[in-house]
Amino acid sequence: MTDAETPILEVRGLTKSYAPRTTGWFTKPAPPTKVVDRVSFEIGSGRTLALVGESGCGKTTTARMILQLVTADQGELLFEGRPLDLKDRNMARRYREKVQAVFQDPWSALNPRMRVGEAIAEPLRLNTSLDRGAIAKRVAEVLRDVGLDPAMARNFPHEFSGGQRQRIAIARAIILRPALIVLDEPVSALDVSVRLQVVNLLVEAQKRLGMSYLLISHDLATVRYQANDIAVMYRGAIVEDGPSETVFETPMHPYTQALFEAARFVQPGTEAESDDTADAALPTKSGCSFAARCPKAFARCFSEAPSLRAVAPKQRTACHLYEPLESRAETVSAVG
Amino acid sequence: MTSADTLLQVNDLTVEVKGARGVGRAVDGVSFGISAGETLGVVGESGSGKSLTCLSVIRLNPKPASRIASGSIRFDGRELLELDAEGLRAYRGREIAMILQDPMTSLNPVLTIGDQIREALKLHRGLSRADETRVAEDLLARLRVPEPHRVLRSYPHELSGGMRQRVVGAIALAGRPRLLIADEPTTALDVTVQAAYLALLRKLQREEGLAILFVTHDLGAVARICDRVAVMYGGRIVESATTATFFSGAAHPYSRALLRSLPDVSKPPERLEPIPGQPPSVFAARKGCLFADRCPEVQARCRELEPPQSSVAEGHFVHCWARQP
Ligand SMILES: Nc1ncnc2c1ncn2[C@@H]1O[C@H](COP(=O)(O)OP(=O)(O)OP(=O)(O)O)[C@@H](O)[C@H]1O
Ligand SMILES: Nc1ncnc2c1ncn2[C@@H]1O[C@H](COP(=O)(O)OP(=O)(O)OP(=O)(O)O)[C@@H](O)[C@H]1O
Ligand SMILES: [Mg+2]
Ligand SMILES: [Mg+2]
Repeated sequence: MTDAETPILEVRGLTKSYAPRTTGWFTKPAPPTKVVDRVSFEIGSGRTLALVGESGCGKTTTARMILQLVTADQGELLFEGRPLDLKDRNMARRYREKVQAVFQDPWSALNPRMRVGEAIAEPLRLNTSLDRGAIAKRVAEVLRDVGLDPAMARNFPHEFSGGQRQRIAIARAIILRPALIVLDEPVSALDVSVRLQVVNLLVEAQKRLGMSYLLISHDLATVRYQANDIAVMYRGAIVEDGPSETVFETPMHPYTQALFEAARFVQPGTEAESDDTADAALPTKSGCSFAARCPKAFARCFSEAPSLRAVAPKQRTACHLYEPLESRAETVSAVG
Repeated sequence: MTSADTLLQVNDLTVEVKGARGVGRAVDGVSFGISAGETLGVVGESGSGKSLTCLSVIRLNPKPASRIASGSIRFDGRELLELDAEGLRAYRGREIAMILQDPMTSLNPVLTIGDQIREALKLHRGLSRADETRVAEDLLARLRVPEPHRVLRSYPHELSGGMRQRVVGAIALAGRPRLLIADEPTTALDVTVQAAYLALLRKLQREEGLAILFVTHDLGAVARICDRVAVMYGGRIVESATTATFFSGAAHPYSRALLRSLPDVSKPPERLEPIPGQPPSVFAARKGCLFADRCPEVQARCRELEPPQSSVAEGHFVHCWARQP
């Protein structure tokens, strides 16, 4: 068993590329696009790690690699301190039981023809040998845990509102008492008030059951409320990470700064900033992927990719602004 | 409330839905107008009838699950409810474009993104294929889609959630509509991409007079882009005001509760306080004010009589017994 210090999940160097579509027989095939590039992080036992970043930066792909829904090109996972080996059938089974997921869309996550009680019971039926009475009891319990009336087990998904369906998806995810739940935009389809109910529910369930969360979200206000740690991704790579409050208080990477700045409430009537950013979207070939959009970029940013390194206790960022020249040789070798 | 330059005028729209428990009123006497170059934001709790209102304008409301029971929808002076399917087709996509709440329902899984945007361009403009590709790439780039040329050759399942949502936006804008009905168009986007998206809409609104019906639960987006706000609760518009007035002096207790529940990202939050209670079911009896059970200012008559509209100030209307002059 694990002690409190062992992270529940450690992700080391996860990488995924997709081959581009060829345009014609006469064009030279372009190199595969790396959509996730050597992503590493760890999720502490009972803690929440938030993964945030630009739309399309690779968050869902990272989550799907962790859930074994997408095969990684490179990298490894350590579960409860041990390298995950899916050929070890006991370990594979334990991993499937202990790692669950809740996705963004409360509408498509549930089979419309299955009563929600059956849907919630499904993981128990597939993974345990409990009898029907015991399963019904657990279903009633988790329904109560997520704030729903156990009598609702007999209803069909279309009879529930979006917020209720997301509660059902959470009930289904927690019924096996998982150690880790991957939450990919669990509240983005919900209105403000229901969103807060669901976030409160997740926080309470975590306190009670001691689960860890990997939380992917664009809603930075609830991220700040929920997360212990945060990792900021840009174009496939983590550009900054650290304890959530530290990063929210003192974001170092210019992308993180821009992201947090844009999340602040603007007073109505304030001009929306101009949209002439279209051409800035091209990343440089060899340098920092954010350089073309970075207000603080200098020559080195266009020629050399910065590596993720500590800039404060527990806070790391991948940005040349914070690299003292003396350590430059060391940095270059760390990248390679 | 109708002015000369009103592009869309909806009056007393009522939409019924059928369910196991009978027929319910999901949209109940909704009226609003939008002028060219103006953005009306519609906010309100999940299930309050926002999507059904939008869909009904171009009669894409689910059938036979729902039915437009009464009302009038005038676009550019023409009564849309009198048009047959053929007549409506001339408006859809060209004059009025709609961004549906779920991006996957409006994308064809077996066509590339490029084909789908070009199709929208072809319907509405006479461009060469090379120009079509250029315009499509430009639209995607303005919505901050990285590597637009790659995305044009991709299929929907090869894109991230937020990329799909932007593609749907690009298809809607490709037809250069006069009215854009956008139902939660930015829910899957991060805030920097969202800011670019909203800036593009703002620009089209200014330069081309685009009118927008903007449904969202993101009050930050409302502040950035909307000129006026209509708050829906239980199928009714319970308050309407200019955006500035909505944020500084919302009158309806539901609007106030909504604004209070908004968490602030710039401070470490202590706790989150959702509005207590549950929204009414569309099948419940429609007696009195539908917010009464959750309202901190509830009075006896609130449960008996539907509150009439009263004017708080010029252009600011509320339906609330506690706000009668
Ligand atoms: N099956 C696939 N084939 C090709 N490319 C893919 C595939 N799946 C994902 N991608 C690409 O990988 C990149 C990352 O996508 P991903 O869904 O991980 O992003 P994300 O960070 O979750 O974005 P969002 O916030 O919009 O959900 C995108 O450029 C996407 O087009
Ligand atoms: N196809 C349908 N069949 C039956 N009832 C429906 C159908 N579509 C919508 N409704 C009901 O009509 C009401 C209004 O739904 P609508 O989708 O307009 O809500 P909304 O305000 O857009 O909510 P959200 O913020 O969750 O998108 C809801 O109570 C819903 O249950
Ligand atoms: Mg995603
Ligand atoms: Mg809706």
